[in-house]
Amino acid sequence: MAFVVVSDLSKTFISKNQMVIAALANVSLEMERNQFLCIVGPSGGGKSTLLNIMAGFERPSQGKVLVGGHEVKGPSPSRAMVFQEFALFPWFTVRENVAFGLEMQSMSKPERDEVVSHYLDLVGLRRFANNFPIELSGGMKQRVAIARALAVNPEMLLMDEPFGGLDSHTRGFMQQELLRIWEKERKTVAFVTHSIDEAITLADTVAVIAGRPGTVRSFTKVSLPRPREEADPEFVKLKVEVRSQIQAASLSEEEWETDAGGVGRESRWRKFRLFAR
Amino acid sequence: MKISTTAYNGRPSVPSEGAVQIQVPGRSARPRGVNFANLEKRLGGLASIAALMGFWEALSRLVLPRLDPQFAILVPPPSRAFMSGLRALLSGELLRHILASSERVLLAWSVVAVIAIPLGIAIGWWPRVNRFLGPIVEMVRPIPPIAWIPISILWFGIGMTQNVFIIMIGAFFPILINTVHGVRSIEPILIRAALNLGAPPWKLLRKVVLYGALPNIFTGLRIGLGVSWMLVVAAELVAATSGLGFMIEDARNFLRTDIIFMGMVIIGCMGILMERILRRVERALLVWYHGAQHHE
Repeated sequence: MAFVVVSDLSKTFISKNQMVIAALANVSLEMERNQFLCIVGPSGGGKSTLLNIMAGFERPSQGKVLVGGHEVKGPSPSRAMVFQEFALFPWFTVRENVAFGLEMQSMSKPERDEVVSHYLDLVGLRRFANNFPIELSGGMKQRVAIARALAVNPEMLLMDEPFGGLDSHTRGFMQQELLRIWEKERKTVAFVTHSIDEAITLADTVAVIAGRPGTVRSFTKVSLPRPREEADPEFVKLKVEVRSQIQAASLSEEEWETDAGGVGRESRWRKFRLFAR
Repeated sequence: MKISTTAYNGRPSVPSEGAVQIQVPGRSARPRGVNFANLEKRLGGLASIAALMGFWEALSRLVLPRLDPQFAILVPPPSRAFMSGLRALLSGELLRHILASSERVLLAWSVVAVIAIPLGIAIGWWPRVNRFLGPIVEMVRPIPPIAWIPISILWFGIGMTQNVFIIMIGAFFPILINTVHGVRSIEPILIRAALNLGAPPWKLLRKVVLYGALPNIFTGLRIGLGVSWMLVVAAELVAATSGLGFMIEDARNFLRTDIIFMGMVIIGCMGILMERILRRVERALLVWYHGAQHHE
């Protein structure tokens, strides 16, 4: 059996105005150990919801996630998350942030210091060990977050648009950094992004999740050797392929929206509720 | 909580990836030489106070006695208030009152902090505690602390205990409410991150919730201290035999308006002093929140 198995996953929410919103429907996918999977698709397509369910922050409405044969029932350091918003603890220094997960496991201080130093070296931030997050740039903050996630020695890494908040220059740099780190510390990675370029630059496999509710539209294997060049004809070919899959999904979604007249109906409903109040 | 990568109150942020040094702005960052604009700003404030004092002095020495000698007594010249302040200081009398008031304030305020902060965290963190205690808080909170004075005199008599009780009532709610607010305003993603890294409930509370609420807790402590200082005077006016409030009330009996005014000014100064000290402590403890910057 594959290392990560997502089987027939669906998720529905109840929105503030009491509407039922389907975020994901019948999503199934598998990941081998140490595979780098990128999940790509338009925003609002349920990519982050899928990652949150894999992390154990949210429960699925239907279906389940197995990691290493165990069902995901809640958050765990074995599935460490890297957030788009960095989510560093602003009151701790860089060193204390990276040590946080180890401290939670009650690891002794000398041991902890050794592990933390190793990961600070890995992300190249040793000199900033005693700075507070407020003193770092966005790219540096995200490198701290990656070090913090790796320090707990997780079985897999979940990354939710980790470079989405960075400028394009820093973004490209961080992608190469991540690959460099990944070469050294092989992990199973699920990486959510809305950038097709980013997905093809990083992934072994690109999964397209699109539509409302989000479903898996396709898997595309990327077997180009790393580092990959965006001007490479093979790269461009893959990009066109993935883009056409996303476009196909969003075309059918537009139809769906005009058919249902979703927006108009919602506002009429809201008017009615105001009146009733 | 703001996490900002741009310049933050004059502190340069790290511009880009790679080899960069964090600049720590020190005294040298200030412009050298006499800053005339700054000088004007400071002296301008002093000048207006000096003008007011001069006007007041002239009024109560030259104008009022001619109108009605009683007026001159009710509005004493500032110089006389200053001199009587000096006399009270030299005799040790003034210091005794200042210490008495400060002692009450600090005792009540620190006891309240120890109670209200954990309680506020509990109310903010567990909805169940909030449902249980929230209504009580909302019922007692609107009662002005001063309205507790009559019953507290019956309960505790006149003196320290009653004064401290009134201050505690007043300081309790600002600290509690701000702590609750602080807990609720922690970014949910930080809680997620902590859970993801395996934080057990107790450590989550201590390492994330408490720290995250700290800026608001300090706001509460500051407001609470200000309220305490107002209330110690109120309590001493009616139920004490020492303290600055007692001192000015006692002076009223002897028509010593100079002491009353002097006492009022000292009460104001003490309030400012306490606020300043607490602000410094806050700056030192919350470097991660305010950024490292020098004091203005």
